Amino acid sequence: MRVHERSTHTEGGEVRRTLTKRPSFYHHLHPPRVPLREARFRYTFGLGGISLLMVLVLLLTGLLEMFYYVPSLEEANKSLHQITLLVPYGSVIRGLHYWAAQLLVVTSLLHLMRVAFTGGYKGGRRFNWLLGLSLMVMVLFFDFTGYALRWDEDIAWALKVGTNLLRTIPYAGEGLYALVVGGDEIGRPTVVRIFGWHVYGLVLVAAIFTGWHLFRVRRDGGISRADKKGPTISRNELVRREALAALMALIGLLLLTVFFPPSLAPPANFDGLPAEATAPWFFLWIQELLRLGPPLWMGVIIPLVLLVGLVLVPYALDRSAEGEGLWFNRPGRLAQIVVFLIVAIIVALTLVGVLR
Amino acid sequence: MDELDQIQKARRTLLKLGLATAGLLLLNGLRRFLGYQEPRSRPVRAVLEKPESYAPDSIISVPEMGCWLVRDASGFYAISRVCPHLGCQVRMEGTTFTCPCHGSKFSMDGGVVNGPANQPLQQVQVGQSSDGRLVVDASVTVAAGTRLRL
Repeated sequence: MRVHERSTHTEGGEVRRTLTKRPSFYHHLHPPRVPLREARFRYTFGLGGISLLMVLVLLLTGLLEMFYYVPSLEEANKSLHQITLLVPYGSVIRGLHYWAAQLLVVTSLLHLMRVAFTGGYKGGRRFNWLLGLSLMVMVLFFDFTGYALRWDEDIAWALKVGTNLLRTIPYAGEGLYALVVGGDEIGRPTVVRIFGWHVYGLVLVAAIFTGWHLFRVRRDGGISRADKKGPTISRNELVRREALAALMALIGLLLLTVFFPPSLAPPANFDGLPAEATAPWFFLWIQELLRLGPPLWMGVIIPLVLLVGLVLVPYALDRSAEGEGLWFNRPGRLAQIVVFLIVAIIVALTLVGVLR
Repeated sequence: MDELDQIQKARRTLLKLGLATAGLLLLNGLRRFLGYQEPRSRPVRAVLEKPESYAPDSIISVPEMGCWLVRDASGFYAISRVCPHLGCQVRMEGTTFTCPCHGSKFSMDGGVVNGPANQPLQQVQVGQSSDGRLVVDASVTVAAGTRLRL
């Protein structure tokens, strides 16, 4: 910390020299003291922090993969084989990227549920709830575009269905399809655009929203808490706990990478799609929905309705300010039930898809 | 207390050493990751016709080797078309090679006539295969004035 000399002139004409400490960037990341009760693992489970850690891993491993990945029809799959099989530690980088991405979906969802069940959306935190929801949606698009960039047999169906789903949207559908696919069918421009979205377009928006989301946590008064006056721990103690949690999470990531490396199938052939249609696991619920009725309703409108249900949590389902910081607080009962139902529907549909 | 301090100090030193070693190993891994280079697949050498097919005082372009095969009174040689100035491809104009980029000029045997280039055009290896055909290998440079005499 820099120490500065400051001169203050008093009324009596004296000059008083004092030394003041200017806080560094590190000191801005957390408040000097945080509530002890809410810093406990069993309050937040560190889910927001772990999600942020996953994002950092994704940024770093993604950057490294960009040294070798080629976004072209012929080279995409080939360059990934190169990364996985030839580049030293390439399989580790790719595995970390894959698992951080999958874990991010899980931790983001669990974080959403934790915030919902502890009333962390109440009062002034309503807007931050919306920011978080937006990030959740972005995570799903990140995972989908990243998955598609493999350009192998496994993604062919998912890409075809996903892009055709856009077409079902009235008025904007064809325009959106052209924006994503870059033509009237999947081809050379598609892989370039998906790469552009995954590596830049989505990153730009997500970076802004993530920064905003974290800023709002501080501005809204820090972690949501039940008792405004309780025992506290220091910033440094919090950072120690975060470092320990991060270390354990990274070890977990490495173990997953080593023992469950991501698969890579032969290059996609859109003229001869494979027999089995597969969706990525985080969209299995949409695939199950699509079996039940018209695509616009099942694939676009129903997911949007579920999203709107989540949006309404702090604006319509629970507008009270009481109960903040308490698991399953009474005032938020309706919101908790709705969130639980929405998650239960998605999980149930996913299970149906898995068991098929 | 003093003993405890010493143990703690030793422990901290060991941890710092361990962290430093891990950091160096990680950096080395990163260096290896970033340093991977694909093996290049370019044609190694060009097998041409038998020497009798080429008239005396003829110049034949060998584009896949980036050079010309020249037959003059003293024999065969191959001259590279890479300008030693900044790597542009020189063109043949009459009895000189000229570089379109900055105007360097070279004589038939590669020597500098004028221009920003201050080194001659390189000569590359001309040999003969077992059945007598000429073989040009652009990856091997030979001294100026080398000739394959027949």
